[in-house]
Amino acid sequence: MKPYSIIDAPDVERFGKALDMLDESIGELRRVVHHIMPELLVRDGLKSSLGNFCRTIPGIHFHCIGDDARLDSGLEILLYRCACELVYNAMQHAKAAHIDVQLMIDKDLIALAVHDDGIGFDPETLSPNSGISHIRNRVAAAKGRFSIHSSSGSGTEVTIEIEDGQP
Amino acid sequence: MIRVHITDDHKLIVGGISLLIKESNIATVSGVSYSVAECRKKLAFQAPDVLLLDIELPDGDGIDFCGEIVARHPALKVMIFTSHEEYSTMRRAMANGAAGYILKADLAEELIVGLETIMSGQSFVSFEIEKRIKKIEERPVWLTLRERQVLEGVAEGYTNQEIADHLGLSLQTIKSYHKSLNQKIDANNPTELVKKAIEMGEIKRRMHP
Repeated sequence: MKPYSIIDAPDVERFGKALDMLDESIGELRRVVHHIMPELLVRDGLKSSLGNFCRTIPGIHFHCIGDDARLDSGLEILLYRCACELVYNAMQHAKAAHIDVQLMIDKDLIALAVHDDGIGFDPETLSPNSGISHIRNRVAAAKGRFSIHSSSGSGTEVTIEIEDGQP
Repeated sequence: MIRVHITDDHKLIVGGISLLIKESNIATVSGVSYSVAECRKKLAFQAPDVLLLDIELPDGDGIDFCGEIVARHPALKVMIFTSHEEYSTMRRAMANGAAGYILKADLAEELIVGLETIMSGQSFVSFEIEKRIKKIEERPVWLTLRERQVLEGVAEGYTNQEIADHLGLSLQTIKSYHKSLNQKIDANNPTELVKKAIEMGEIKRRMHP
């Protein structure tokens, strides 16, 4: 300790712990703020921000196929929010260890796929108020196709496809 | 001695880093500035070896400025010094001519090693960032459900139109997935695609073709 230190030796450990907690909170806050208004989404586009989002969570692999083109901003926000929601779902409800997120941007097709190796469920039993049902409605409103494949014990894969999505 | 110019709008950080560099005995602080405009002006008269540059400056973006200053002073090595740990930001910095990228949360020793590394002509990214790059590069091929459906169709010898009809999707959609399969599996035609997919274990070899 430096001679002008103002904390006693036993406090050093506590202080260190407090600093660690503060670091964790800062990280958490960054994630929360990023989720509310992802500044990178507006600046760098969907591919880049979705990639960054996935990198903040352990166990996720992000795959991107095709053009690095900017999409209609409403569509970018829709797909970004759907992807985040699906990832959180997979982490919280499916108890997944690995999640794969793929974004494909092609001339006539934009496709988002989120796969997890979690416990799976019967899509027939989905409550109309669940997060996934909301995603389905939002995708339908954007004239997209929503499909879900899941069965007990074999994980879940959600696919969102929007044709002719580019201006 | 490596002459370092520090540009960061936080005076406390500039002070701390200056002290650290002085104590290293391999480098010295030849100047400091707190904005893009001030840095641009000072570098016109001074010629440091390294510019330690923050990204978020009050009057501009450090990465954009990096591209500008490297074009004007090709011998200058720029080390980006930031709290942005996103891979894409790092890539943007390197694409704009940065020689190094270090996080404010990194250890002091890393900064010194980083300065020596970029002066030897190599590029430097801090350990934390490097760990992320490794994770990205090690990822195996993973196919989505749709891609597997299309791959199975191709392996069975169906045309894109037949696969589209079977799955109830448009021909364009199948073509897009076919393209992503070719890209992921690194194939140029259906025969090569099926051959490589079998080698990778993505599809089972048929008992009787």
